[in-house]
Amino acid sequence: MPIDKAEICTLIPHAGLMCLLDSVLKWDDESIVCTSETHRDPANPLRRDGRLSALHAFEYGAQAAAVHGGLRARLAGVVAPPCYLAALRDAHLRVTRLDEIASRLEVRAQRLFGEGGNTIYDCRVSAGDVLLADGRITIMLRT
Amino acid sequence: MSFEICRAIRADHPSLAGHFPGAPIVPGVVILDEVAAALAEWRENCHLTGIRAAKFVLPLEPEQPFTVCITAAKGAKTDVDFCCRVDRRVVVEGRLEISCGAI
Repeated sequence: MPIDKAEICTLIPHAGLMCLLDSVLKWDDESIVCTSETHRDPANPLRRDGRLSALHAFEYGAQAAAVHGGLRARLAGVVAPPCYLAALRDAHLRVTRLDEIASRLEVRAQRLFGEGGNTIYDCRVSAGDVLLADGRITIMLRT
Repeated sequence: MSFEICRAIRADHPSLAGHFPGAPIVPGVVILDEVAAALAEWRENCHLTGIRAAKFVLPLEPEQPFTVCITAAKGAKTDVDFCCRVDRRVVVEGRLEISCGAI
């Protein structure tokens, strides 16, 4: 059963329109695949002058990683600690804007390293077979 | 060769209500969007194609003025270094990959 938006929003601290992902298609201990159509929403809170830069793919990726952390914590019977996006590396923007992408986004995050609050994820945001943005994000405990 | 500009993210920025409720912190991608806008102001025909590295050192609060400094990176024509500071404290720094010419 896919996990829907209402459940996603209980797993991460992001609220309202900043809860960007619509569903979790699948996940396991190492990875998660989410979808979203919010990139085309005129009310997307990350738009600047009406445009949604491809940069924001990494916020989608970071939220997928946060949802993954929340799901893993829930399975372990604990509460995920508050974390933040600490670093972004080797990130490529294959397009300039996301709001012009007609189909839904698929947001994949693969845990490369780390546990709990200090983890590195490989993130890939694509639409159909087209890769839009990819990079590595570091998530750290908020102290 | 460098460029510097001062910015602030207003408290009514639409991302802040949900990031996070009661404890607004400017999302890192919103800061990077300001860096990208500064880059476009500095070099009109250039745009961002990648982020080699960005390190988010300190949280940025709404309305907090910060400077964006962009410098041509040594040894790589397609790279620029950037640093965002509040007073003298680094908030975000890193290296961007850019492309210049027709998009």
